[in-house]
Amino acid sequence: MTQQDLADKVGVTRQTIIAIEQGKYSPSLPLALKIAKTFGVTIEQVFELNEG
Amino acid sequence: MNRTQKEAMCSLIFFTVTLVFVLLILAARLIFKKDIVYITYFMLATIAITNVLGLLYVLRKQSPREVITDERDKLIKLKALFASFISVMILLAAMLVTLRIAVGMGGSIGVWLLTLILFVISIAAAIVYSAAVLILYLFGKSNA
Repeated sequence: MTQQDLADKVGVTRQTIIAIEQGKYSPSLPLALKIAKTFGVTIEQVFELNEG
Repeated sequence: MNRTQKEAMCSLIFFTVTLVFVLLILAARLIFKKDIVYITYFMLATIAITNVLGLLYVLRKQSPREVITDERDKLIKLKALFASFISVMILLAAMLVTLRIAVGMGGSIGVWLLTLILFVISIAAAIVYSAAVLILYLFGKSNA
């Protein structure tokens, strides 16, 4: 799956997916849930809490 | 580059050109005491047409699935709006202090000058907004 495919499926721009991958943007909970659902995994398997 | 960035780029170019143009006309009037009405209208028309064509190009949908705006865009626009508001406040304060020093408490200024000041501040606010959007896209680290 390409970044564009994922972006289209969750309803954001490709730039937002890139920013999430690079850690420049923390998505909202609904978006994080949509991404996890697209991959068919739980939210913890896609995202981790980075404290500090 | 997504649509919000393209719009910001388009606005930045347009408002910067407009600001430079307005200042050039003002300088021509003040220094050479010449009113260049026809050239002014021609230039304004050219800028307006160029901007409309640029916006039409930017706003066309590239694919049926293209997302116009998302949550990150909204967050960036909100931050840029705040930066723009702060710049307006700073510019207004600077203008008021300058006028206070230049004409004193009881002095008066022409209506054209007041209009020009508000016009220039508005354009500057638009420039700050567009620049802030582009900067936040490039370097901004944001959270929803």
